[in-house]
Amino acid sequence: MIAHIIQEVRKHAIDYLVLASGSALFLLYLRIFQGERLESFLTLLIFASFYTMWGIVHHTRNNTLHMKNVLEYIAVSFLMLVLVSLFYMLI
Amino acid sequence: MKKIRRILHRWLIPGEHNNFRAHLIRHDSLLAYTFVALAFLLIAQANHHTIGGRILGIATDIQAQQLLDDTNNERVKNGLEPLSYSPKLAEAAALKSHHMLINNYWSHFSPNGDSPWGFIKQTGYEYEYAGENLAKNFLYSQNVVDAWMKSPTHRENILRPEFTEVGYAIQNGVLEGEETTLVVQMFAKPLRATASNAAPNAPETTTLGNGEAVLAQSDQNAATAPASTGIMLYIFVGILILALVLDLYIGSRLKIIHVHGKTLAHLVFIIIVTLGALIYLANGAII
Repeated sequence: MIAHIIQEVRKHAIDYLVLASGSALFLLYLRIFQGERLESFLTLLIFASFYTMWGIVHHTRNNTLHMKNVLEYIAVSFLMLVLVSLFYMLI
Repeated sequence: MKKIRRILHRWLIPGEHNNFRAHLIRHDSLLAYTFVALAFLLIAQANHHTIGGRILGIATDIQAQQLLDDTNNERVKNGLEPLSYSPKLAEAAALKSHHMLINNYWSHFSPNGDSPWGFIKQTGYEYEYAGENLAKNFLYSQNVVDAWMKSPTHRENILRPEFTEVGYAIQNGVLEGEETTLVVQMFAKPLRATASNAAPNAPETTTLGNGEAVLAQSDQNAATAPASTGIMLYIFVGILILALVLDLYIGSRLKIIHVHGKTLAHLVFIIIVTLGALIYLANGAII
């Protein structure tokens, strides 16, 4: 499994670098806005939107973009946004 | 038993029976979870608690007794005497938290220059030394004390040998347009030993002059423990991560390459969001 992951990351190094940078920025902004619910929610909303966009760009670059994939990225992004908001009542 | 195994296989393990994609992480299932979670969120929003005409939707598990115990544990660990609980300091803390909410500020000093010591004096408590720690938007008592202990100035208050008494106020309200849980910790040493009515280990609900109750102990109406909802969400996210890991593991063993690393990307995203939520959102701010 690890070999498969390494192979996948190497093959799409730029894509995963962008995803890792976005993730690092997300954690950084959450730390900066710690204790501020609205700003934390906006950070999460931006990261969820970024993830959906990342998925679309990633699949476009690999000629594998289908409606099913787009729906899946939207579902995962929105699901995490709603779950975290539900737990912390951010909105 | 066979039927349960078959269902588990279909929902968790990718294989021929489910077209090499566990039902649990198929796009239609993910959309269904999203709609169910959204329905829960809307219901939770609709069931906001109302106190004094203000809508509150905050779920925290901060209790004065726990704050007192954790604070005293830190003092004992550092070779100091534990603090006694003072109802008068709790009243002063309640006056302060109420003042912050009414006047919409988050600071030791109000915009008009009111100091924390004024609230202590208002209760008739005469002090030789006094101190104040503030926190907001924490979920758990232990996190509040941990955050204070990590900050040199707050730690100094908690570990100041001169202090002998402490009082707490925990109040939900709207501060700067945002639903907030405020925690006020007031320390002091009375001018004379008889000046206060210290009651060791007995936090209670403090009532302000206008009759508004400020939480100093857990109040189930205003501060519902997020434990049950939280555990369910942790379990759900855990199962989701398990299904994605199984998909990645079995997919790589069977050499089924899912459409360019969707599973890996979802796994990274879910883990990062969960980590961020657990590390930073569970903690609030202190001053």
